[in-house]
Amino acid sequence: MRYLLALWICKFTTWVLRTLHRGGTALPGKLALKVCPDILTSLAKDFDVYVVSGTNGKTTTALLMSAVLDGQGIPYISNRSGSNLERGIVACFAEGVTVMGKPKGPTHAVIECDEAAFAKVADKLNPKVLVVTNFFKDQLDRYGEVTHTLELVKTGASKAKEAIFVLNGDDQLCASIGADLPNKAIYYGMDNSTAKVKDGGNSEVEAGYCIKCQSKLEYAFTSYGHLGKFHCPACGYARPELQVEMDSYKLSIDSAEFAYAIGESRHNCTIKVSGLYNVYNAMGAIGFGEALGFDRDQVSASLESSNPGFGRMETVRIGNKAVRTVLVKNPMGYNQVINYLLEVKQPLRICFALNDNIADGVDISWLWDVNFENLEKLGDDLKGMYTCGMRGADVAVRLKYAGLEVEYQETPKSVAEVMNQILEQMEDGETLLVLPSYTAMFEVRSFLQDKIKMKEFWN
Amino acid sequence: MDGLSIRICHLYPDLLNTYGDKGNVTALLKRCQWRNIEAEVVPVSLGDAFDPDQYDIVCIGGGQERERATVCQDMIDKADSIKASLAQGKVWLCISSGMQIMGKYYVNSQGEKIQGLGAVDFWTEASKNKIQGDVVAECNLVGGVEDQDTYVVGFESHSGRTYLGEGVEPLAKVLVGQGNNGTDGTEGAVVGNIFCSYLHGSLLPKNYRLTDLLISRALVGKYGQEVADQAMANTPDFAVEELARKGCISRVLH
Repeated sequence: MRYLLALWICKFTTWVLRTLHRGGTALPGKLALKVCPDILTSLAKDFDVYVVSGTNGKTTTALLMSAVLDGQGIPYISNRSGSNLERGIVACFAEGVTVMGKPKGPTHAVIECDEAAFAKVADKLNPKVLVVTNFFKDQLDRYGEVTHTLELVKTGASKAKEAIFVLNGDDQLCASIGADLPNKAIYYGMDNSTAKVKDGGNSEVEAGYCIKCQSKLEYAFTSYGHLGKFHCPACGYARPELQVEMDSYKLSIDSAEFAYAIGESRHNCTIKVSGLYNVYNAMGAIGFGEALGFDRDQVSASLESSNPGFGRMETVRIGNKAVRTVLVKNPMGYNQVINYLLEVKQPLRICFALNDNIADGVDISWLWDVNFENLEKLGDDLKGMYTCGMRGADVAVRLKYAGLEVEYQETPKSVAEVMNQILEQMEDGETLLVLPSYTAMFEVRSFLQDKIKMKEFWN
Repeated sequence: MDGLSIRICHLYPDLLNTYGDKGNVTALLKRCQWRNIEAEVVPVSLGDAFDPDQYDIVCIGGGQERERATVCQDMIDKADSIKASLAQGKVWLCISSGMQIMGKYYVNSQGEKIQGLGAVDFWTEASKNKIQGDVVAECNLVGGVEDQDTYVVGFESHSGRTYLGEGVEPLAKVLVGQGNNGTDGTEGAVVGNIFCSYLHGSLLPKNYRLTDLLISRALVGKYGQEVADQAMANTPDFAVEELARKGCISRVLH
């Protein structure tokens, strides 16, 4: 009874907020949890739940997993608006059930789950598949150290008794989840025979020491950051055998083409997002398809037909000018975007929009871990750089010390004002790349919405 | 100024780099170079030799618990050369875990007492609650013209509580934030040319006057006061640094 009351409150507040056109997804779930702290167990029990967690690439991976289900004609619910804390997950399920708490239609759920939240909700969700993307330094001020974040996910994973794990085998932290727990695990990663050894710089060494015995790891190669074929000379911990193995990739401005093998079968796939990190995300989704035993060619085809996630990398055209938005929230995200820019070579302007609200991460010192120095290699292709947001001046300081020219705001200006100015300076045919932090992304998006009247994202 | 050079040692950059500590080293490097002082950064990590005569400035940053333990062990091997560097009055910047290691001892969460280098008279006790947030603190070592020129800004994130021994000066007095222990208003410690602080990561880029103070101290030690004064007389542009610092002060103080 308490459960149904909580459910109704949740549904009612959602309805009220929508009627008022308020885009919040936090409040309804929050109220429901107050009334019935265990509501999620009851809500999720009639669903086959597929969870994705990890520090980077959750949203894109969840989207690609959804595409895999689409390809199979399996209907599902998903918390795709990006609210990945318990309250957001509650709201998502509440919407997927009738007033009596039974699934309205779909009985599958693709759930993106925050790492700390996962430790708390894993047993309630009882997932059938758990995909873990990677562990990079992310919002250190929220969860402490990256090993602590790993422990949170591992705690959750240990409660997901029925789950098949799909793990990034190239990440020693991620792979340790499979090594430490009895669940069946499918590992994905990069094959060493044709892998390029390249990196945004070799300073991302947060996992350079063995998670098991703290000795210095050795790598046959790295793909980016600490991902690669690792082994520990002291204790023997090594990259597990890969079930989904990518052996070549090619990036272009708005797509990535890659070839991979699953056992004896070989496949090619082109996804409509670029960046090596997105190839990894796609492999997570391929591993997900493997876990559910789907037809491999169908899985590949459904990834090809999918589109990128909310704000992660989307392009809108304003007249003859393109504005491309990529959410970045930690140094590895930035380094990957920078690598991507170096690879695709195209004239562009870049606008950094950095806020330091809680959802962004209140500590911005990680700016100094980003290899902005590499942007210099863009040469004449880099037509201008701009900073805005609450910590825009701090970004400008960082870029100055990277030896780069940047336009910053001497008096505070809104993201919209700055973007308007940039658009005025741009010539036809030019591209503006906007790199917002989480809350700045909403400002960017609402600016773009006003410009082109974009659909609200839950329509 | 031509003919001058500064060598900066970045100690354990692969282990103690949790909070953008590279920024401190970059700030020192750039502000030397902008003055035409030849400058170079040399990483020194586990098992590497540390030659005290080689480096005018030494930076050691903050790290995670398990990496700090590894570093402590290695520093014992390097203790003689580190002590020689300190005794020669070389400039040291020790942030967070790097600061704790410089003290007399550290009591960890299990109650074990871990010996530090004892370079500065302070000690640290673990606590369950982590201190986190933006800090504004007054540092009288950095001069200026306007009132708030002496304010340094930074971000603190530490669970250790550090207590200064008698007569040990803090680096700064906390105006907003918790500082060394959340009770006595002190932030960091400074003895001679050893600068310790909990303000991690980008302390120096956020506070160009402090960066310049460290460079000046290193030049005085190497070339004498007169040459140092000449080299420091011309201050590289600091407009955007000041904009960021003042932006932080106004958001934190009000």
